[in-house]
Amino acid sequence: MTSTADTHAAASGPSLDWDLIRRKTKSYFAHGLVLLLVAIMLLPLFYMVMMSFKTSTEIANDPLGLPASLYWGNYMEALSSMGYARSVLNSMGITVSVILVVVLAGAMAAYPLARLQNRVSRIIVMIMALGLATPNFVTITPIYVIFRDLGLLDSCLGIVLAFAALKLPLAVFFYTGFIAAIPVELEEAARLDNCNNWQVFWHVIRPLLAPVTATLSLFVMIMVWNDFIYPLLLLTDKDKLTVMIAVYKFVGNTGIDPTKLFPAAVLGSLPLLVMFAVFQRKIMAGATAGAVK
Amino acid sequence: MIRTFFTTSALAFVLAGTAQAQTVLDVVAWKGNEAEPAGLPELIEKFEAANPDIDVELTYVARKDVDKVIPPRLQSGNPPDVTMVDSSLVELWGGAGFLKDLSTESDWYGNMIPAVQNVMTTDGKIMVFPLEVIGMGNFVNMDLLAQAGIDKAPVTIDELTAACQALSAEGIAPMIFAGTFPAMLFVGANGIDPANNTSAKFGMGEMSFVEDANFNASLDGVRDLVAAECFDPELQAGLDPWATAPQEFKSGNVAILPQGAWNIGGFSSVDGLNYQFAPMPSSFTEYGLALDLVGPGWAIPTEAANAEAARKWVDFFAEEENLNVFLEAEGAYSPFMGGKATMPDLATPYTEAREKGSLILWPFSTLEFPKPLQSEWEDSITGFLLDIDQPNETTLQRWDDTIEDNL
Repeated sequence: MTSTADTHAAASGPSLDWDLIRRKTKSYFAHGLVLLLVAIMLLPLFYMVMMSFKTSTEIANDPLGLPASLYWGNYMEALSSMGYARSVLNSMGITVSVILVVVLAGAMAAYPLARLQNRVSRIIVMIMALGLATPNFVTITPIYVIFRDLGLLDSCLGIVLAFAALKLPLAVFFYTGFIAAIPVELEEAARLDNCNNWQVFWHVIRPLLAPVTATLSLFVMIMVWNDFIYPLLLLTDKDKLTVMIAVYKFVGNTGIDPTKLFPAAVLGSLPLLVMFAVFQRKIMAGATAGAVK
Repeated sequence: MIRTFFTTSALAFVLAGTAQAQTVLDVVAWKGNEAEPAGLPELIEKFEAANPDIDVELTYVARKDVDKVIPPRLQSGNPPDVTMVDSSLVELWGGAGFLKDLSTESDWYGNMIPAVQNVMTTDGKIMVFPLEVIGMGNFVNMDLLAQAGIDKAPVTIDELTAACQALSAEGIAPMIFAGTFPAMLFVGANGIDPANNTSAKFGMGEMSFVEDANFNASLDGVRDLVAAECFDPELQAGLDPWATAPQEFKSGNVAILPQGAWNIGGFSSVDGLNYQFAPMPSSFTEYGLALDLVGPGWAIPTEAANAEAARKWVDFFAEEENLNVFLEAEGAYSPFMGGKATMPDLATPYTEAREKGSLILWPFSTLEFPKPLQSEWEDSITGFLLDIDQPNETTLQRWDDTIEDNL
């Protein structure tokens, strides 16, 4: 019997697994589509980098063409007038400090707001949400006047506090929703072990916030890094200026010079990309946390 | 040992005293950065050499951000010592009492071009030292024109349409007419009669755009340009006039670009770009119409901490040789009478039109037209380009409505 089936199979040659072929085709198509979308999204970035390596004549003659060779002169010129190292350090210091303050204060504020089910806490959350929608020009003058009275103008502490205050509503909004989804039983178990409120927050809730903290940090990092209005307003000492202010100097009122602006823009966003690459795993974990339970 | 200690201490005190005597002049401007140096780095160096007790700290704030960054400083009594302003800021901040009167008794005041003097003087006060009057017209690629058999930049409508047809026949893109700024220049130059400038009457609502024959003819003129194959209106409606349009001109992809003379520096840095700066072709004049924009100037805020040093800064620019450095770098004309010409030869067609009196001051810079009308012009002319067959009234009524809203 066995030999009959084998003989038949052998006679008809190796059979095609159509299911496998269909699955593979689908997979290749899906991957191809994703790669195409990624390429489209990366196109502006590629264009920025490509332009930064072209001479002004090359740009004039063929704005969309590839550079004949990598011309580093644009970068040398940008670096010489940006005060790059200093401004990057300033930006990193300010950004990291703001993230720390926002994460800590935001989580501590969100914990009681998420757990207290009364009208007051709901109103506070709503007020915080309003803070998200408040436009820049509404807050800019009060912040400047308050900081002048507190003697916080032209100080790193001032700019960190300003950014922290502006981003705190976002943190509270993030954390309140996330903490509300954490089972209360975890806290009850801790309380049975004689933990007080602070210990419950620090030892039980805080570790669970890691993924959402990573995502929040990414948001805050991008917003603080790219903002130039507040540093422009609150800082005057050249040694305290941020990297985006250094890039801002290359933007004209009535046009742009690509040989200056593009290398400056690449240099300005490079540290952010490096930071993102370093924290990528945590950030992605945070972004997808809760998607699958 | 004790003597050395006291000598060192005394020296330290003297040095500290000297350092404290140094005045830091806080200057805010939307020029002087890497993109638009306007000769300011050189001038700051010269000013500091002439005033060794003053250090100038120039902060660049782009014009579009000035309205966000400077008002909090003015309102809180902590303004910069000197700030760059334009006519609309003089009206706004000066009207609110934030700017010092620089005095009509100043030596330079009487030497100002009368039209600029009129614009900048409010209630007998002059709150700004004007730095420039800058031209707006057509940049013309003379090599591309030569390929089409033309050797002169067009300055009349007939010359422009003939040039468009000839260029188009040669397969050369004749003209950029981006829906915002470039198109506005043409529409303005063909709507405002220099011999009978009624801009102020439009601005005060005494005249209606819808009923005005000149502005109706100006929009008809745009249709004539389309018919002459100067440009494709729908393509131009979406073109960025500030980055893409100048880049296209630099690349030699288009023959004519309506823009401001502030591009002269950038265009002149391109090897092999043979171009001229010409007045805008206009049905009102055979010379082309020079569109002069009253540019920025320096103002001293009322509560400036270093008002005396700030005044020195203004007086420094009042010296012709210093102002000329700024004007040459900008490609601009002096707002004062007489003086040395600073414009390059390539701007001769524009300068000739000015000298023949074929000139208007751009009504948005003189505040004859309210500021909100500018964005309405941009939006509505873009809409017009997208639907060139719509009645003129559709576009012009929007302007009248904006004027009415701002009376």
